[in-house]
Amino acid sequence: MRDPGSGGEGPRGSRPHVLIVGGGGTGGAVAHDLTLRGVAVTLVERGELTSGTTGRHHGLLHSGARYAVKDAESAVECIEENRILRRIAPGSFEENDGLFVAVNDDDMDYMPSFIDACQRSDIPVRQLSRAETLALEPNLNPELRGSVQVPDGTMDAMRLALRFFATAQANGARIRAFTEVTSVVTSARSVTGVMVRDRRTGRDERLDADIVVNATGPWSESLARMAGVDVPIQPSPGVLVALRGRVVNMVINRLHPAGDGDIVLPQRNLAVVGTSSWVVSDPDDLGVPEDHVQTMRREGSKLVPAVATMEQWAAWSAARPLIGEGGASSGRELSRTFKCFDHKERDGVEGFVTITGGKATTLRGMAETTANVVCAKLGLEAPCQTRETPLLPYSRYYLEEVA
Amino acid sequence: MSAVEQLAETEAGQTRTLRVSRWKPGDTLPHYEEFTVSYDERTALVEALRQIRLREDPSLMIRHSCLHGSCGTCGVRVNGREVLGCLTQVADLPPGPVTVEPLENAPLLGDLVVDMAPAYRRIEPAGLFPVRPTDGVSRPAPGVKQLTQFQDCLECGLCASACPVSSVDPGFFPAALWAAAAAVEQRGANLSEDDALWLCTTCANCLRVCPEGIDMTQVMPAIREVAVGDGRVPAELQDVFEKSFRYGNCLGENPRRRHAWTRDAGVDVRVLPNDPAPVDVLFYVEDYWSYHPRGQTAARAFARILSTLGVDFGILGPEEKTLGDSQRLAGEKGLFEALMDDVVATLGRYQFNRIVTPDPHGFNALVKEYPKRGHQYQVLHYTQFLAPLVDRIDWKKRLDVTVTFHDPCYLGRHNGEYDAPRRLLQAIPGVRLVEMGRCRENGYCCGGGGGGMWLDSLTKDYMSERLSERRVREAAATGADVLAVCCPYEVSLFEDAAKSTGNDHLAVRDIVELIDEAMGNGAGA
Repeated sequence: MRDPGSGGEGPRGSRPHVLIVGGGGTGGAVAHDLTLRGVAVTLVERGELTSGTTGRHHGLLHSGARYAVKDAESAVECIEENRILRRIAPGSFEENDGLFVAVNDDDMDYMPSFIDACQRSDIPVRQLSRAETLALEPNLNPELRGSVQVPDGTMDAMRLALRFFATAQANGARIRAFTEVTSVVTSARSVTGVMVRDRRTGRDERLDADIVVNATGPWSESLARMAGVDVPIQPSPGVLVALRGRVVNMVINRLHPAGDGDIVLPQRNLAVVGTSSWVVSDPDDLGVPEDHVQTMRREGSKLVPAVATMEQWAAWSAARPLIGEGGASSGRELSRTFKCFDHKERDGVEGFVTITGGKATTLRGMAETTANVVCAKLGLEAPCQTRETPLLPYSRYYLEEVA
Repeated sequence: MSAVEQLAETEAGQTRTLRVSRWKPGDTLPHYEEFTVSYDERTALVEALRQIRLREDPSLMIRHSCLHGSCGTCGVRVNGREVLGCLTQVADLPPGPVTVEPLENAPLLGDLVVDMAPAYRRIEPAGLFPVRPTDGVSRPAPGVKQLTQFQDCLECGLCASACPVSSVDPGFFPAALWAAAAAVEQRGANLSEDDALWLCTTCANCLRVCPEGIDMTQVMPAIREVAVGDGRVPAELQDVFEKSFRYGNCLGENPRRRHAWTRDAGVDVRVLPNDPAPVDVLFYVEDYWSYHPRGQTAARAFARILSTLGVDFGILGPEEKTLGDSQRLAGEKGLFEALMDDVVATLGRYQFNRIVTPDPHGFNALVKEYPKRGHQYQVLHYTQFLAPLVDRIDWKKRLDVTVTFHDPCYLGRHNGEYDAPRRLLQAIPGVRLVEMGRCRENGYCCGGGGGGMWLDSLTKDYMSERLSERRVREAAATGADVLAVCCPYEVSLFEDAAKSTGNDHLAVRDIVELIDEAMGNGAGA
């Protein structure tokens, strides 16, 4: 945790002040983007940074191929951001590509439309024979028929996000972990700040802001409620299972319409199988349904037979912040794209912006969109610089002397 | 209870009480608060802590992120043992009270959260890339770039919390040494001339807690070997290397006087070069029992015990050379291999059934290194040899002492033997054994291993106190009269430490000295 300092923001300087709620990857990326545009930024997070969805997602740098057939908008976002992130955050990814593996005739039948959809979204593809596939990944199901290679990758989920925090902090953002919002301060249909409690000191403070950004992912509904508005968010958890052993080096997807347990990817010395999808109302209360764990094993083993028997290291759930007006049953039908809501336009409440939906892969793009909305509201003409600005190493988050 | 009630109980899950360390800035000392958590077979400790924070006390500060042992943020101590909270199941916690505390040897920010900044100040200068080429199963196809893998180390800080050197030198961080070693191996980086290279005692307490099983006892000799090759060896250690090479012992003593101690043993000790008939037990005396005055008293005691028990034993006398394990771990692989060649040749000239040695370091080498030269002998530490014979001892004297026992790292953690020494101590009439807080698997290092025995003038400048001094204070705090040991390095280290810490009342005795005294030989003191 950095910046243990306390006390509210001092007298407002000439720069506008934006307060970001939520210390996940999205909040970090918004902080980074806004500091580069000359905005004074404070970010608060109720726990440790990345302790919500960010830290525990699959760690997949999407090429977009997974969404190409059904959700072209998400696919295009993913491949664009995939290319940008590799450029601005070298070292944060295992750039080993991914394989969409066909294990039966149905999968082979799906291949042409899959390749066609990828190409339409500008996702590079390379069709591989069975032999070529097994040469790359010898632990795959030997019954496989063929595969398609795409520029998927894997990331260190926490440390990629920390690079945004590190860079924002070095550029002057105040990052305050263990600082929980207890209420949103409003005045005449306008949000003017938040009340926070510092969990180190126990002190309550008021933090004034020109704009409050709600970057709390699956928790955005509860923060929005404090501001008297609602957001159409549907927390949709998925189960992931980590198995001990690095049986693959690439991201292994099943070549079929996205389903449960059809991705196996490496993380350090683990193989991580994911995921499932259901919907909940409280993103703090997920549980790890046993039948989902069994599904991960069963489906994952169709791609990598060893998944059936490998030592289980951990099983956990993570809640996606999917956009949907409720009524969704599994979450699979909801788009993986993101939305930025200006609650002035949506609900008539000034000074409050929510960014939600999206994926770890698109965190920078989500931040760019959010910062565009924020800057327009502030009347600030400052272009986004994050596409070309290299991020500091994650360790700088801990090492940077806080002003 | 009806079936329905039973079912309801099963569904509700079981509960467990956690005693959680609480501390906020301004508090002098941490205090403990008890929380009852419900759990099922899939509830990780970190999830239980999270539920406390969410449902009972939002002021509880905890760190977590990935929940599967990949990010390294959720390290805590459970009943004193370092773990990742996400990989620890509540259902697997030991019975009895469960205390959850923050990691040690790091600045505390609040409750269970420590500041990782000092760790990164040590790790970052190594300049290690976060990803490296894979050594895994996949082969790049033509036209496919080299596959990569993230580094193994999670930077979780469990190692530093468990490390005895970190406990007396806040600048020492085992993971940083690993990073430096990895940078040397993977990038041809120049090895830092940082003295930290020489502070590690290879006690393996970090290996015990490392979620990734990173073995500093493999890493240290490798990076020290580079320093040795570059001629950057502390003078006092170089002196020991030279003595070991020239005289076959680390003390630079005359090899012909290796069995001088036998003269005052009071029993006959067969010196095999003089009497090469086959023998049951080859007593491999090693350097400190051969030459150090306090070691010699133990050697004599052991000889008397063997003789009284009617064991057919002999020693190599002038032909014995050190087994060289600490020289190996200090980075002199070439010296170690030369010694190993000599020792193996010597052993080949005699017939015996097993080797018994008092030195856990030599024992470790015989068990793990010498088989690489085809050696197949049965090897026992003396405690392992004596423990099954203890019922045959005819005790003559009751000692009436309270004894605490220090586990040697190379007998305990390195070779898994914790019970034999305790079995011996508990068999001695009038010995009351009390354990120190850190014992057995979690035993605290005396500072002598991995070359530490020979680096005192360098290491003491980095440490707020010597490891032996901290250990002696821990021993004294048990109220024991005697600190019992079974490693030849420890007697002199702990006797000096007892003096320097004002604990002269604490007698440091090898277990064989206590046995010998209780057998009525009266020469133990």
